[in-house]
Amino acid sequence: MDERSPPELDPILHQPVRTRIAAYLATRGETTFTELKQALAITDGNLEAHLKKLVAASYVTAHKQTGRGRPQTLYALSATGEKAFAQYVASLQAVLGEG
Amino acid sequence: MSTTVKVQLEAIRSMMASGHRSVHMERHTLLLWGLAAAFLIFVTDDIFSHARVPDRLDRALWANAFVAAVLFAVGLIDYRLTRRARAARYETISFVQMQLTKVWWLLVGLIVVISVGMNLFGGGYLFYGIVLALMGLAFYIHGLFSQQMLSWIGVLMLALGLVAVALNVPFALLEWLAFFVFGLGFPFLALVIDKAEYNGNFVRRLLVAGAWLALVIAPTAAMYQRDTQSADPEGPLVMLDNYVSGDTADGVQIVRLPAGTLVPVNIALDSDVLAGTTSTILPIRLAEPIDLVVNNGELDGRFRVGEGNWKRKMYNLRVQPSEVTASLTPQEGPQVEFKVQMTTSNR
Repeated sequence: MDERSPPELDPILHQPVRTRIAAYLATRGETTFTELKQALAITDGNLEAHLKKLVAASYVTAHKQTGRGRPQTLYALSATGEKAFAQYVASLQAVLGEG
Repeated sequence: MSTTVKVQLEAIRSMMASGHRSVHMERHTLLLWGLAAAFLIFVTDDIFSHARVPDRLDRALWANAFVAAVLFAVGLIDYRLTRRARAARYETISFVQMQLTKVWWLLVGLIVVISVGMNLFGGGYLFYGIVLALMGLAFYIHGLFSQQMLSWIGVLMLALGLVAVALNVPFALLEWLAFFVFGLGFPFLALVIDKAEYNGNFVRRLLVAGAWLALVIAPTAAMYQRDTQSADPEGPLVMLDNYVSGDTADGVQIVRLPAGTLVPVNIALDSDVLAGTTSTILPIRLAEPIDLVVNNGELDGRFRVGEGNWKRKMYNLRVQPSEVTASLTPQEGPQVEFKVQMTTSNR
């Protein structure tokens, strides 16, 4: 078994930054780019790259919000993302024998 | 493998906890609700006084409609200001915060409903104790998900409310306490809530909580002292016999009712099982002399028992029905016993 990417673990979520993004969105709900950046303490470029992968996998939805001030993009975990995240956590717990 | 998995799970737990703690009480929220509540405590009884609205039911309905309208307006302003503040910081209002806002609104609504109920069915002397306890609970819950200092102050408010009710604190004193909790305590909290130097660790939070408590207790005690100490009247002492014979002057007078004086208490009892209103006069006899302050023919609420301290009716006189029992025996037929407790203590 390959330690870095075990076949039973979701390859999209089994990456430290993306795991943290999914975990944060799971409890926080809809979140702006700025809030995610503050919570994860990473650079704009790094965050943007990982968000693109999560959006491409349909795990995260993104929509622009306009109104007072600068338009901003809101990110949220999609139903597919919630399911995949729950499955991923269950898989991790199974590996440790917690589940 | 297990190390990597443990690290991942720990990161997940940490981020989920962080997501849950994304709730934040804005400073304007504390200022708005605190000042609005203090304003309502200060003006509502004066606006809807007995002289302006004589009917008790009308007075209760108008006063509570006014309170509900002001609180609703404050809620709307708070909602708009919060959204604007979040947008300015490129933040959203989290799911948890939205749920907590609903809990807050429910508790505020509950306070209005309790107020209506107490106006109509009695028990009003408990009102501010309940308000403090409910607002304390709201702060405590909010603080669990956001600034810890809120939970600390919430516990203090909860304790103040419950202790006040348990110790039977006079309504007027409790009203001052509520006024200063909202009018001073909330703005003070708004000043320190987001500053790490004031609530960064346990000792600092303890100091801030102590300062908050002193800030609301000290002026309450000062107002109580002022009201009770200003009770000593200046005026001639007139015996009851002279007063009722009309042999007195206008202005402030101290009328003495000697021990043994018979005081008729007019009792009117109304019920859906009675044929009309039943009224009777119950003569009570004083065990000790009582001095009453009369100002131009009107009692002004100051009194003293014997040679004791001068007191104010609003702080020291409480009449409460303590027991109502009914019996039906062949010897005496139907009987209802109604016990009323009247106290003039300095509590």
